Amino acid sequence: MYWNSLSEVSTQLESKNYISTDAINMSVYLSAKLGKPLLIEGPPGVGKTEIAKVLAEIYHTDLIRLQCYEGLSVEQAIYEWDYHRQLLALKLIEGDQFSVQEKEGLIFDDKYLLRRPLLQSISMDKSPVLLLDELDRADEEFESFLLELLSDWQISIPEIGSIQAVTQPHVIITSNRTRELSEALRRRCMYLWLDYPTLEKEQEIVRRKVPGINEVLSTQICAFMQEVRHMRLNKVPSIAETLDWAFALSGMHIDYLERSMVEDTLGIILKDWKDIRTAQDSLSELFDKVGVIQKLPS
Amino acid sequence: MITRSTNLSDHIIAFCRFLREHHFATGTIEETDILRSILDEQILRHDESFALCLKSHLCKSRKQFVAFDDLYHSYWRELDRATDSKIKESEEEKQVNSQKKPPPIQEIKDWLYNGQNDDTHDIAKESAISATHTQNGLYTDERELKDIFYLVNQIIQKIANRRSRRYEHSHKRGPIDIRKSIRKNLLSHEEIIKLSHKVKKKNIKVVLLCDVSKSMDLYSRFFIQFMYAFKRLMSHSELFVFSTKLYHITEEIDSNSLSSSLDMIIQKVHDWGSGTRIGESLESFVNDYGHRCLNSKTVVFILSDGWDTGDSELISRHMSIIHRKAMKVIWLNPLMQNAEWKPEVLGMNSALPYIDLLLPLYNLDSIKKLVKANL
Repeated sequence: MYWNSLSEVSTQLESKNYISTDAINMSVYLSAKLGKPLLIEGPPGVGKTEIAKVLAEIYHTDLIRLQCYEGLSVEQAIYEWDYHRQLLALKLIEGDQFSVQEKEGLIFDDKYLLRRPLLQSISMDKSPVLLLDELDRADEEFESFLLELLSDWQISIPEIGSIQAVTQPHVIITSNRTRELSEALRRRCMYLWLDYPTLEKEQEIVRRKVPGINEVLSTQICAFMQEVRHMRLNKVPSIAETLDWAFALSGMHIDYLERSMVEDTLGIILKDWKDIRTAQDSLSELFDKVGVIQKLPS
Repeated sequence: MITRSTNLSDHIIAFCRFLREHHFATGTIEETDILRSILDEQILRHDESFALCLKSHLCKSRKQFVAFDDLYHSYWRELDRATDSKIKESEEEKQVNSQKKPPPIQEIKDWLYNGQNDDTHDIAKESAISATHTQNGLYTDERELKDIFYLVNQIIQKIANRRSRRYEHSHKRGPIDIRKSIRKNLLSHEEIIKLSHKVKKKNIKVVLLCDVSKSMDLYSRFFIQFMYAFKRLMSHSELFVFSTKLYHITEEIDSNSLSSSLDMIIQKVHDWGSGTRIGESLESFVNDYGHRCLNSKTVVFILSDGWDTGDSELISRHMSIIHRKAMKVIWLNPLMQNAEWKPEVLGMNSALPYIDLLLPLYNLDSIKKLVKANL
């Protein structure tokens, strides 16, 4: 148990510059208390991965990250035998009078086992934070492999048997919902949905992450981003884009939003040419909503 | 609220039961976890933290996460009704529901079965186009369905065996499969001479969107048979029909027989044979089902003639999204049986840039052509 109280979660997360909500605090608290994995879903760039990074810092432990992708296999995620060294060892003992069982025992030894992130995470003396990032990108078969680990905290290796977890890792699973994760996996996890931040929360994040930014500019940027997210876009900008934009404008010593400046820097927040065109077309409307006074060309 | 004289654990269990009625998968594991959590006094100190605790344990998807707050409040507000799970409709609700009743089932069944519906008739009649086969005595209903199954199976095999680009054979061979190589050389060689390379097939998912508007009258039944075969042979398929609205019919078609599937679809699809709003239907597909149905392993089949009375801008916008997210978009148009057909209607024209393959589908022969196509 890492937390003494709910308020401690909030304080600790904020001390690491992670602006949390009550729902985040509760999920992190209960997931640590009950030792259950935390499944975080939400659009890209809302701070899902960041939670795992911050928790590793707070727990003073290692962060083991497994970036999931299509075609990720068990060998890359759990374990693999070091076949080259095994073959070499077999060659070396070829002439020796070992029985088949003895030879097997020699080559299927722990020293020939290459521990990949999942096996590594249950073999450590101090519980690490295990981040299974973008699990929705991995194949469904891989998800099934995870079930044994997440419910029994053990991994079965046919040649050796089951390996029980030395310590139970703090598992954080993230998904961008490009496909629906299985019901079986969901039921083994605590669930948290992270949406785009509210205006107040986004302002707080910008203030924390971009020190020295002009207050007016920060408020205008956040209000502008909130409005942009209501538009029909192919790629909705996230907090990461807000921060990039805030850094860029603040770095240029700009104190308030100006039409020409916004037009020139739209590429920082929008990553699709159609989206940029849509935003350019409705810039006046956006400025009206945000309350930015537009200077008319003289 | 929480300091009621009744037992809190009983209420939690009753609340879980209430959520189950609203399609939450809450079982004993969740109930036990909540009871373990509330041993912590902090959780019970405030109503908000108690609600958040339940939310963290009981929600397993975004939809549930969004719906939870309303359900939570309505449960505790109407505790007595929720606890015994016997929520009675108010008179007003009853009136509203009675107004929304679907058209008489028998009427639609008669239409579907060409007025020859009876209980022993357990498969739908063939489409009007393929009726020529029946007249020639070549096909009976069951025979036709069997043939559709056979051909659809070939389509599925073709799609399923399509190799991922990452593992496709090329001059540069794939990564060495050491286990396979050792097995291969175990009996005949002391040294590993013959190497095996990894080959991986993609797990393809199929989504079928079928137009059941008035203009598709002639083909709807044939298309439903086609979709039924897909679902029976490829359990991962997701099926939808649309005319002015989109309906998800995977569960309905997953039942035992085509006849009972049809009955269930009829009850569900209120606007069968009415106007066509392809754009709105595609929008609803992308927004409501896109996140789980569309990915790089999805082949999307759209079965429609392209006649549309809605906004063509919506069609192109959502076709572009489907095209971007899915592996392949195949449009099957029954009107293409006419050699002089051109994609001139607005709906078809708007969708055309985002279609990977445009093929005819109107009878068994056209399915055979589909099998031969480069899917």
